[in-house]
Amino acid sequence: MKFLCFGFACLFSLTFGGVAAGQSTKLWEAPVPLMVGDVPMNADGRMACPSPAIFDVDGDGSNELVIGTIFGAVYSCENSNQDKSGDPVWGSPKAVQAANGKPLSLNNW
Amino acid sequence: MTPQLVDFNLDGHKDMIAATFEGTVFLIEGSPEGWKQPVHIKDVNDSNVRIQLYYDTDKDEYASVDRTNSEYEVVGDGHCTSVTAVDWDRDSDLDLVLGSLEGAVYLCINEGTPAAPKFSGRNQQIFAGKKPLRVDGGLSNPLCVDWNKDGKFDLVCGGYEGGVYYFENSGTLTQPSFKEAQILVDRTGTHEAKVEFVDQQESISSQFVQGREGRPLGPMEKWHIDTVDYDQDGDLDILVGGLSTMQVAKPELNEAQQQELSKLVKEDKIVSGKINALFSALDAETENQKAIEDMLASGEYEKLAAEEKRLKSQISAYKPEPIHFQYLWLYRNRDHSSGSSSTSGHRPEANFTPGKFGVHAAFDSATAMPGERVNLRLTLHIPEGFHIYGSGNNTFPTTLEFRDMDGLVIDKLPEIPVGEFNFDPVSKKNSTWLEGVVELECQVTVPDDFEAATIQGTVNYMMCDRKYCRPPAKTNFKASLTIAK
Repeated sequence: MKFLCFGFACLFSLTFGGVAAGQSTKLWEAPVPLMVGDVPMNADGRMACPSPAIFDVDGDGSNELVIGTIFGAVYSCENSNQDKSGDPVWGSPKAVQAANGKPLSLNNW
Repeated sequence: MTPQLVDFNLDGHKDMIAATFEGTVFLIEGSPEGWKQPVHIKDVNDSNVRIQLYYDTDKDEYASVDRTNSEYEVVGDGHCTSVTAVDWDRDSDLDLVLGSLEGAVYLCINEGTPAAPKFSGRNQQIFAGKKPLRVDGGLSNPLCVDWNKDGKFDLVCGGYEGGVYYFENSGTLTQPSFKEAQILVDRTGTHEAKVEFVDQQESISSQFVQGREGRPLGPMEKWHIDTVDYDQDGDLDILVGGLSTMQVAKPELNEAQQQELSKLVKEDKIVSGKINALFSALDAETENQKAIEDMLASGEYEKLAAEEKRLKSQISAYKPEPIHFQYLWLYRNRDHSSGSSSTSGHRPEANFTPGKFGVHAAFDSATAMPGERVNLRLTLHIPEGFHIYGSGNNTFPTTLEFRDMDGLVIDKLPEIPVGEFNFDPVSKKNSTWLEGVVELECQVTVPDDFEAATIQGTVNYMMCDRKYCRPPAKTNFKASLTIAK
């Protein structure tokens, strides 16, 4: 296969020889985008290379969607679904603030 | 990046850890006032934890250092762009699993204490089967997750070129080892979200994902993942942050339009050439700040850039560019027999906290038929250096309570072992102790009207070392079961 280059990173694209693919299609429903209202989250691409995780980032006892970006920012979305069943209902991403009132920012290249 | 929530220094405040393209690992410490700004996590030599390639902020350039303790060479550049913390060897402190962009995974052992971590200056390459573990096409982030519900964490990795890979832990609780990769989610897509490999020389990428109504049907590459019971149905789903590139349909051009397109492309090349020449001249004058200021002040660059933008806009009407999306995606698990969300099913934050007592509860199978009998396993994890008391004539014998059975019936309650006889320096008398990992199991009968059920309970115990005892404590456990289809 070919080289695949994307800006700062250029990686080999290799075959999948020797990797078992037993469960991949039967286990999962077709992927669905996380939404904020009727719009896919990050439709504006503001969060570059978003990396999601779910945990209680603000210590309020409920989990938020926490999203890191390639530029070192951290965002969180509140869940307005208070039921103990079903999918979360996410609000818009907001930058996670440090105790000094500034947005969290991890250094990058 | 994929931040992970974990009490890194056991101060009772949750912290976050993450790695970036700087090639280093960060701690975002929690405090009563809130989050502190990120700081580098250091090794025993007071250097930043890293694999090989890192960005030297003082010199403003990438640099390299070999930290690998392996007969195998570092895969690619050894660029650490992801991290997850886990008690790798069950010595009650947190170790770091470092992910390299090139697809390899390294272990950085904590040589300090649970409350004051100090990480090794050498990283150990992690193997899958007999070869160094490698995620083909590169690694976005590794997770330590008990995917197969055997009480040990497995490695689940998001692929930089897409896909989710599963490395089953076939080792022991204290010495993990991993089987070769299995694909959990195929990078080329599931169902309708197929990725097409198109031979298009003029594009940066030759991959495109299918779309509908102007939106992609799935992620394509740079899969940053987390595993979580998103819909609270008792199994683990997968969240993916990923890049999708959609091919835009090209309009049929008549002869006049083709000629116009050729003319615009030629003009664009001329303007781009002028811009490149300008920057080449500037590069030659790098030390001359005045030359840069003069160039910017002259407005020449702005004029050329505006012309280039106009031309590219006109070209795109005849020859549309691919569109990039960076959505977040849910892969919903529809097979309850894998990826359980029981107490150990999620990230280490919800798994076993170093220095703390933990309980893992899981049924042998996550599904059952009405009337069937299933095996429930409880695993008690006692931190190294501590003991709890057995079921004998002790000061505080460990006991089990079950509640909220959802109609499930336990045939016979599991018995807490008596434990090993020891002289207890705290109570100054002989007692029986339980140490390390204690496995308990019992049979549970599923009711005839069963559809889904969760069994919950509590372990009552007192944890002591040879000098003092912590106050008596309760730790809850939970395991879920759904109907087999």
